[in-house]
This record gives sequence, structure tokens and C-alpha cells, in this order.
Amino acid sequence: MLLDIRNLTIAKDTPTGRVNVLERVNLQINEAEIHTLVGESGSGKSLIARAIMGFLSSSWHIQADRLWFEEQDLLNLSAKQRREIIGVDVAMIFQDAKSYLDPNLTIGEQLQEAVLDQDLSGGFWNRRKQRKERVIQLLHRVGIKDHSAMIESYPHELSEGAAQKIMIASAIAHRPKLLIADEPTSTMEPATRQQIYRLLAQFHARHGMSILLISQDLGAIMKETERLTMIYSGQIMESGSTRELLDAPHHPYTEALLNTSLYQQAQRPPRSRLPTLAGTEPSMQHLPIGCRLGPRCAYARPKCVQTPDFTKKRDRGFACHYPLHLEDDA
Amino acid sequence: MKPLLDVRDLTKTYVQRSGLFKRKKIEALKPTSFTVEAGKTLAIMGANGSGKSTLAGLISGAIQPSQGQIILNGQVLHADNYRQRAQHIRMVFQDAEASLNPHLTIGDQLEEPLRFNTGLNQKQRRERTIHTLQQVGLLAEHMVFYPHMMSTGQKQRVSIARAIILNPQLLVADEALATLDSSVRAQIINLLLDLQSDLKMSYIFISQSPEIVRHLADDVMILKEGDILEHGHVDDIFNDPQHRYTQSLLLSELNSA
Repeated sequence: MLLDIRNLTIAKDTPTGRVNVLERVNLQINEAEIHTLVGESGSGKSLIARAIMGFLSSSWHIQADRLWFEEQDLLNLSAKQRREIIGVDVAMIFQDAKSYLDPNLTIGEQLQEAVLDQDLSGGFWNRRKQRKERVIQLLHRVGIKDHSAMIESYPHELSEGAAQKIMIASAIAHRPKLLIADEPTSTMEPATRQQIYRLLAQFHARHGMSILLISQDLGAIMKETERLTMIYSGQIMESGSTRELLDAPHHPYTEALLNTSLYQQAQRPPRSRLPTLAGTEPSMQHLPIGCRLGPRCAYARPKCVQTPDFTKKRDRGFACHYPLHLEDDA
Repeated sequence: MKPLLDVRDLTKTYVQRSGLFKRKKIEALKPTSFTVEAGKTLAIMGANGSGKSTLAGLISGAIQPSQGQIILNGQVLHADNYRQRAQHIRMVFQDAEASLNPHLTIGDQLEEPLRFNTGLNQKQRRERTIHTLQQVGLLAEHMVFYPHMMSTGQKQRVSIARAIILNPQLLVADEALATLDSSVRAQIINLLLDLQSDLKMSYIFISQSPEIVRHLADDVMILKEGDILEHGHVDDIFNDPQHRYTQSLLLSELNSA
């Protein structure tokens, strides 16, 4: 198990009292696995990523039974120890790649900063040259052939796809064990998105890198995804292998998201009304008690005001009192 | 039947200085002609930089054309006559967050187009605002809300309400669904379909998603580098695309997977 999160609760103080933005989140990622976390905007999926990376400020209250990375408890480490682990073994790329690059430095200079000292050998007189060679090597790895032009460019000269490739290049400079990709392609056009996904899949296959992909939409996930976790409004709804989850969702939320995905939409007659969840997602100030999907769920019954436990069945898990597509073979 | 919108040889060129005396002409949109009939939807597809948004800007009057005419209901639209245009052609933008004014309540924002373009008094404006909010599935209470109090889907509903409040004949939606969550996107698609059948509006719909275009549009126009590559009925173009470029645009990620 590369990453093991059990009952992670993240709370924030608001004028009306403390609110559990994330509630008892479970997430497990194995070595060399592509895991996709799917949730709509504001569901707390980026918050999980930021909690793993340790980006959260002290105004967030983090509690967890486990937040383990490679058997190390991240919550009990000092900031420095944690940085030594996370800084080398975990990397993260973001949605708006351009805004994460320094506009004042050329791409070459920025990538040189990402090169680790232990990759360089020999005396100090060699290092400059070696750094530059390593940068060129990184650029080639992410599929940029014209490295000399790229090294001289500034971020504003790049297209979105190219900027994301630079982010990936600097992320893989450390040879991380886990890459967290927070909606890396959601603003890209389909052809560029495919390119970026292909690139990520390549690193996964060649170097056994695990990827935690965060996505808004079931339609936009990588086709190599092995496991899916669905999150709604800070609660994990369901997780399991991609194939099983999409074929027979246990949770009404998974079913609803599947129904509204573009893939399903393409199967429906043109100009027909689409099935969707009623209402809007709850705001942080007015979270429903119990299962947070309750007020929007087509199958909700009175019992749903109690938070359902996260039930595990074989390698699937779900949090629902009345799961769908469940054969009673116990 | 006479078309609602008739666009003739619409062109936009930008001039860029590329030296002390040298000037380079960039053709953002080459001469383009097409028509849209009442109650129909025209979808415009193309990669980034193909002139889609330029065309939307030209039709809605945000960009001045270099050449060409836009004729709405037999009337030539003049580039600087915003009053004439604002009544009949309205626009919905991609980013609802950025297109709403954070300092005004939803009620005030919806009232503005009525104040500028109609002779309604305060009471009538209020009634019209409430009616429009209900049309897009919001409540009268939302009038006192500020944009930050609403979710993204609700904000997109408000920007649609702002667009339809003057009972326009044509709605231009520039990637209006691209950033929405899938459940909200389905809600907005349903809303657009309902509004079209109720109000007989025409849509010009700019999108990169073949699934959405197939679902909503009657006609499709494929743009490449400011040029119309293909233009025809949805079924014809989707079933038998003539150009490789069109094929690559229509290639959905899901089908290729």
C-alpha cells in the first residue's frame, strides 16, 4: 500500500461553528496504480490532495485514524521530515499549469531548479553542464523535441498543453512514487487532453509511478484508470475497480453521475431531456445531516439522515443504506 | 421562409506591427456567410484559435467587423448601434463567475438591461425579473443574493436569465457549458431545450464537445483558421465528415478509448 488514508476528517471554523468539510474519508492507493478521484466542484477532492501534500494552513483542523505514506504516519512527522518524504516521493500537477510557472524565468531556468543534486556527479565545475543536460533529457521525456527553443521561452509564450508538459517534466525530475494530478486537463481541448493522458500513462507503464488523478467528470478520466473513488460534498460515496463500478454502481450518486456523463448522453436521442440530480449541491454552511446526497437522491428514505457506514465488500466499498445492483450472495 | 439571422461576408482582420514600417495582417475570420432560422440551433466547432469566439463577438457586437453585414429579420445591424442589437441578440459566456458583477445583487444585475433597453417602470421591472428567475429555475428570493452566495450552476442560470430577460431572438453561447459539472451541465441543457421550445429562440452555440453539439444543434459549422470548412445538418456532418480536421474534432475521447 503506497498511500493509506482512513477516516480523514478536515474541519474549518466558520462563524456558525466548526464544519466538517471532509468527513471520514477513506482512500487507499496501491503501488503502480492509477486511481481516479471523481467529484464535482466543491466536493473537497482537491482538499484531500492538499492534505496529503501538507499544503493546508493551520486554520484547517485535520484528524485521521491513518494518513500513511509507505507505512509512515505523515501526521506525526515534523514539517521538515515530512517535506523530505513528500518533496521527493510525491509530486503534484495542477489545472492551470501556466499560473504555476514563474513568469519571470525561462523554462530552462525553472527546470534546472527542479533537478535534484543527487542526480549530479563529479565536482562543482561539472554541475552546470550536467544540470543543463538533465533538463534537455527531461524535455525529451515529455515529448518536446525542440528543446533549445523551449529552454529559451518564457511561460507566456507556451500553449496550455506545452505548459502542462513542463509541469509534468518538473514533477518527474524527482522520480516520484506518486503523482497527484489535480484536474490537469479540464481546460484543454480534447486532442491536447489525450496527449497529456498518454504521457501520464507512459510514465505509469515505464516507471511504475502511481497516479492519483482528480477529475470532475466521469467522461474525462484516463482510460487506464484501474480504480475509481467517488466523492460528493466531502463524503466518499463509493470506490472500487473502474470496470465494476461503471457496470453496476452500488451508490445512487455514481449512477447519477454516469447518467449525466457525456458518454451516456451520446446514447440518448437528440434534443431529449437528460436525467440529472435535482437541486444544487449544498453550500458549506448548510450541509445536510446524515448522507449529504440525501436531499437530492432519488432513492432517499428516512433512514438516510443517519450517516451510512462505509461498507466493504470484496474490493469495493460504498456508503449507502440502500445500495443498488447488489446481489445477495452472502 | 426568411432566415432570422443572415450573415454576409463577415470578416475580421487584425493589423499587427512587425517592424518600424512593416505591418502584418492577421485574418481572424475570413469572409463568412451563413444563415440561422428562427427556433433553430447552429453549433460552431473548431480548435483553439479557429475564430469561433471572434465570430461570437462579431455577432453580439462586442467586436467591430472589418467588412460584411449582419442582417437580423431583414434589418441591417450597425456595429455601433448597441441598443438595437442588445434587445435581440444576447450572449452567455463561459465563465459565469467572471461575467457577473460581484458588487451587485442578482436582482440589480438582471434589472440593468431592462433599465437601459425598455421603458418599464420599477414595479414592472421587478415583476419581469422575478418571472425570468422562475423561468431559469431559480426563486424570487435569489434577487437579494450576491453572486458569491451562489453555486456555479446557479450563476450560469443567472447569466442565462440576464440573457433572456429582454426576450431576445438569438442567444449566443460561447462555451457556456464547458466548465460546468456534469449534473449541472445536464440541468442547463434541459433548461436551454425548454426555453427554446417555449420562447422559439435561436441559439448560436459554440462548443468543443461533439456530444453536446449532437444533442442540441440542428446545423453545425466547422471553423478552421477563420475559414468555414464544413457547414451542414448535424446528422450529415457527424455521419459523413469530409475533412480529416472535422473527423479529429468529432472524435470523442470516449469513442477513441
